[in-house]
Amino acid sequence: MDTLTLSRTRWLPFVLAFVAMLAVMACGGDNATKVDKSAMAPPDQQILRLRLNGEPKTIDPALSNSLAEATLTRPLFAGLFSYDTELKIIPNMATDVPTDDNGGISKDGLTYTVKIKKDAKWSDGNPITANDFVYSLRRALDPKLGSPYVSFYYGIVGAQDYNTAFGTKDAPKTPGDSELSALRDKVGVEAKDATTVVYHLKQPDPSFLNLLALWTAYPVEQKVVEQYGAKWTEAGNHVGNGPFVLREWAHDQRIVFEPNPYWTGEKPNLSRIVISFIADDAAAYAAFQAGDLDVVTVPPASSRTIAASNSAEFQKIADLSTYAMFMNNKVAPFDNQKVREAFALAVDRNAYVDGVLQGAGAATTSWIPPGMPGYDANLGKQWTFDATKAKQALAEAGYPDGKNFPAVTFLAVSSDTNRLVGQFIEDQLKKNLGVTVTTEYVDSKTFGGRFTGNQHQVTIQRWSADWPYPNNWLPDQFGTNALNNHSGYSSSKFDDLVKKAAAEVDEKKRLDLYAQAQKLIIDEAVISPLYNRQTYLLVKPWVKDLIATPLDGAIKGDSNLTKTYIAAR
Amino acid sequence: MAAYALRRLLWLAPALLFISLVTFALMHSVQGGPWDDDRRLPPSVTENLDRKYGLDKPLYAQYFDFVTGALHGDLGISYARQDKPVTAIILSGFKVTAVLGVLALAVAVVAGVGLGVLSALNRNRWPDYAGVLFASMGSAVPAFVLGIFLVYIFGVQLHWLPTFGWDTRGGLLPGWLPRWQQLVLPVVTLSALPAAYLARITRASLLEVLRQDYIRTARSKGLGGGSVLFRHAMRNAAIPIVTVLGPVIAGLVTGSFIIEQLFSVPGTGRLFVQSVNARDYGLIMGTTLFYAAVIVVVNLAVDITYAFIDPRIRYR
Repeated sequence: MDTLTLSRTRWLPFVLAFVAMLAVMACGGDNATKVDKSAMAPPDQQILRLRLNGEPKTIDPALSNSLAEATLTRPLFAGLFSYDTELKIIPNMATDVPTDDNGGISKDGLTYTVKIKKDAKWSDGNPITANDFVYSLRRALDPKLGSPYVSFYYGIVGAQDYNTAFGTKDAPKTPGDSELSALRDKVGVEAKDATTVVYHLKQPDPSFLNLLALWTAYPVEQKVVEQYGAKWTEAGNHVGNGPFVLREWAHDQRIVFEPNPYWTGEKPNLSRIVISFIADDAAAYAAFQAGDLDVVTVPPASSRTIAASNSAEFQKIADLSTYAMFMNNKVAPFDNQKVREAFALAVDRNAYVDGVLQGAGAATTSWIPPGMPGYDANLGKQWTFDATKAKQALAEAGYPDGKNFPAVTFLAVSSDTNRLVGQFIEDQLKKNLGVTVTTEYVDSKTFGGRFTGNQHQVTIQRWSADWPYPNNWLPDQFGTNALNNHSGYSSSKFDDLVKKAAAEVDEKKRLDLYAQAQKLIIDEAVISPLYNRQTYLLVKPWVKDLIATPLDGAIKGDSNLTKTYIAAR
Repeated sequence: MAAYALRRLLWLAPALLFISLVTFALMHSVQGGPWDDDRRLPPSVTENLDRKYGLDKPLYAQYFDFVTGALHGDLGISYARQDKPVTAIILSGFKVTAVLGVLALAVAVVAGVGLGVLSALNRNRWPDYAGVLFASMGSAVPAFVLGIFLVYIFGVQLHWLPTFGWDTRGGLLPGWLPRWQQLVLPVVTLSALPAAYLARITRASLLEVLRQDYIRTARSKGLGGGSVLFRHAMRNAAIPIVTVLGPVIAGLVTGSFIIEQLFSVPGTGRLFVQSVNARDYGLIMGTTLFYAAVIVVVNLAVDITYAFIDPRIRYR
């Protein structure tokens, strides 16, 4: 019966028009209600109803790596550190942030000593000790667990040795249990006493505290994990240490959080958070309009209509991500810098934001996004859209008016939005360069395989910050043969700069080195940054203090849910 | 008859084995694996994951492991769903899909056959035109358009029905059926297309039969309209209807991706698409084999039904 799926694109314009119509109709409704901020609804009405677009893969922090998973682990677990709204690191389970001055960071930058809050407890009432953090990090590094983000922690003494104990595909090893436990014990994290945990690094790392704020390093309770195995994350088994506890997880339907009675931090105002898994954007939007959800992301097709409606429900949230045109510098014709320059000049970024994104974004020519160290608003201004200059660059590359330009494939994940992207890019390059580009739409895993295997010519991809520091944006993306280098860029000058930066202890000098490295990739048009993403949200007027930070996951405000409350209606 | 049914069921085993082999081969030959995302994981990490799930073994060994497991009722685990057993995921989804499918089938049969009969008996008069209009609309409007339209009218505007969900705690039949309010929209949306289809087939088939000589004979013997219709005409007109019911039932009980997606119904329809998109190998194999088995069994049931309706059909 499902042959209908095939005809979806044919119906798309109709559905989009319909959704836009709903949007216009919606604007007359709820936003007239003005709520007195001081008046909080009674506890039985402190229920926040949110949405995720599907069942998460897991809520085990060590196994999480998507935005949805990150968003669910934040209310349930608390790491040593977290971020304030300015993205400054603040203590969470730790008593304070270690620095050189307070002795938390050793002079050589290799030892971090973190004090844990004395009264901290698990949601089953057991005390949290330094041993819990030691156990949790070693568990994440266990090669048998398969933690996806754990390689970030290879800078800790012995971490890589333990996580790669089974060798590589080409050179496999078969360590016995005793060897594995010996390697595990050598991992450089130790409990000095019940409330002091010490980390030993191989070399200084200016972003190390960020790693202790990342979900992979959240503590988990050994007793529970060992008792229930893979089922420890089910409701009833789950124990966490965050402001909320897992009350219910009806798979494929919803997940429900309630306040953790043993949480010693700021008490949540909400008595319940219900997160429904609704895959369809239009369905979620209808649910919001019907009053079945309190917060919803605006469907891309309705972004402009809703932003223009001046609805009191509307909020615009920027996050730390940059979308860029990734041209494969290793293959023709993009091995020619002039061709890359021509492409960088030929795409009208404002038209892209306006037409394809319906306004939900901010055009940029710079790589590191605004809101974090390393952002440079003036970078790449020479690549601002200019059709004349673009044609000129292409002529200098040897293709006047696009003559003899080879066939180029633009790779894109097959989705409704990306159909527009593909059409837009094809159109721009045809119009501004006289070049014919064909879009190939593939499913997301095929895209992932092709893109990360550098088997693409040109595509649009984003990078989103794991932590707000330039070392998350440059060495791994543009270093020679680096893991996420999908431009194929290779420059000894760049490699030297980021290497020097990593070793530099002076913050100002370090940032300057990263700035030089970033300038190189932009000036050589290695990639062509297009825009910084913005999320358009609709929030019911009775939801107060939903405070988003640029590092939030799939649910905006996920790191400040203790502050959120429902106003009396 | 029993021997025939048994023989058909015995054929299920080699058929499933063949399907599993083809699926396995296809699944591993497409580009992109379960750990391929827009952000690349280090080889050390993906190798640990491969080892955890046995993907480091040669393909033939993986297939052998799968078949051995399947023979013991173990279809493996899902990488994308908390390592849950595939059988448990499919069974819990099937419970929902089957309930929804049976309800939609009942609605489709009653509405579709009813309208078809009404159309045929009132040929070229307004009930016929209304029926044909419904049948054309029902087959022309895709479920996701109809669904969102109904949600908008009854959920958003009138606030009569919830916009999403399938919550069986404290429903009509706890553990099986949600509140009736949650049932209406998915059932109606899901049944629209099969109802339209059945209405068309019923109308055509009944018109054909009503022209036959034996109907005229029955009428001339002075039999009443109801008796002619139900005892003589419908019995023969039912054969094409039963034939199309086979695929209709198979479609309904394996679940609809669109309906489940739109109304957030936790059934099996979404599993297949989601598992392929995620390259969740265990779940791909599980859902494919499950679908295959359901379709074979439903088709067998349809064939057996023929024998009851039409005495001319005999199976050996």
